[in-house]
Amino acid sequence: MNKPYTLIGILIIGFILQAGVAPYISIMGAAPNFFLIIVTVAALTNGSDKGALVGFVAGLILDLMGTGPVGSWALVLSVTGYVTGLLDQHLFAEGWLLPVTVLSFASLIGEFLYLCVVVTLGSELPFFSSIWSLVLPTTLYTIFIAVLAFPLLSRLLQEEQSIASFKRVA
Amino acid sequence: MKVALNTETNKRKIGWLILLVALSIILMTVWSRESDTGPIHRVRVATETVAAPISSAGKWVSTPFRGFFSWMSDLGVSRGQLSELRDQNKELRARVVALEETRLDNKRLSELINSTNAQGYKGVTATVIGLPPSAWNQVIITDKGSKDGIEINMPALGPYGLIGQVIEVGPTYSRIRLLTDQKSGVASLIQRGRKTGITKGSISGDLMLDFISAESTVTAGDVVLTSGLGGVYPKGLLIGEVLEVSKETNALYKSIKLTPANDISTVENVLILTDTAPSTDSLGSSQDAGTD
Repeated sequence: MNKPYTLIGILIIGFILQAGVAPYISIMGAAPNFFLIIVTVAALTNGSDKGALVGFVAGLILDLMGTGPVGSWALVLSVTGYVTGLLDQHLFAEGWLLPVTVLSFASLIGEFLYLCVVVTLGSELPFFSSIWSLVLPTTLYTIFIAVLAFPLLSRLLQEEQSIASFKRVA
Repeated sequence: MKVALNTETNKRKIGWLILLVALSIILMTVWSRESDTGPIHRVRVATETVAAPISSAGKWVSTPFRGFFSWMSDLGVSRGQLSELRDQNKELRARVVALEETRLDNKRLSELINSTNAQGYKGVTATVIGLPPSAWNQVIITDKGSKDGIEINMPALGPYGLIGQVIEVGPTYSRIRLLTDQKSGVASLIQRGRKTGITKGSISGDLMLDFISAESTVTAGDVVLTSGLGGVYPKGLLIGEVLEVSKETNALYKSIKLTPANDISTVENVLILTDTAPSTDSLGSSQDAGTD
């Protein structure tokens, strides 16, 4: 990651959006997960190892903002960032199809994994009804916001490639 | 050579992920084992102290927009709905008169037996400055904290009745778990028939009254109050009204859905009762309710 200050800035903006905007644009109780969007885009543009690291930091912030067990979102977003980075390397799609597919898949994985983690840790959440009433609406909302935010976020987080030869420039 | 390098890079990446996962698990373990004053809990309080003004600012900025959307949605009320609302209004007016009579009766009786009911409790009025940041928690944030005498487990009232319980306190804020949260549970009483049960929240945000025997007579519109059992909530606080009653074949208990007394989205102020803090023996509303 060769844009650490940009990333820190984006995480701070994510914190502001999650605390100050997400609660007030919720639809039927579903609010978008801005940190999940940041992690997914960071993983898409920087690879799986950096995706996992951004996921850990973003997840930790999300844990400290919520009321659930601290470390659960850090675990989920680390794994999501890592898997998203791998998906990017193994999917062959062009244009909008790749980011939309990966963003959708990552959002679903992130929310679903969190449900699995909190249920494993002893939460009394009803597993299957939580998928319908919580995981899917939140995922759809997050995908919608992610698709809108992707062009700007990916431009900001894209690693600057060092130019090794004139041939690469051409 | 290239294959060997790739394998090395992949191993390093997996090692990196394993390290982060291990760190997360260590954090979860430390968090669950430490007390409320432990370092991670204190970092969370500090984070929330930073987030509370941001949430408050978000609420202030979004208020005109939410008002506009509410007005827009009201434009869609059909003639049928309007007529239904008028009928409901007439019915409610009649009920207000009847309830006023009951209230006066109740006042006289309360004075007679010198009981302490909800009106007698002391409380701190707090402003709601934050709604749940994600769909996973039905928790609101208020602008009053430990500096104002707020403590964990204190009950909170909205304008029309019980709204929830304080679960976290910082110097200048407190978090209230709403009745509709799936972790919430309140020992309850149906006013007509005096049947006791447990009001629980759910993942969908519905309020359900459990453990009411299948033989009991419960109808839509019945008022549900706190029973006072367990000592967490004082007796007689309004929880809501019965919305739907159903019973599955061979089920021991009825399935009762309630309408909460307060509409969470419109609550701006809450009253946190400060002189009914439960003893530490009865921590956790669910556990408490479960023993009733």
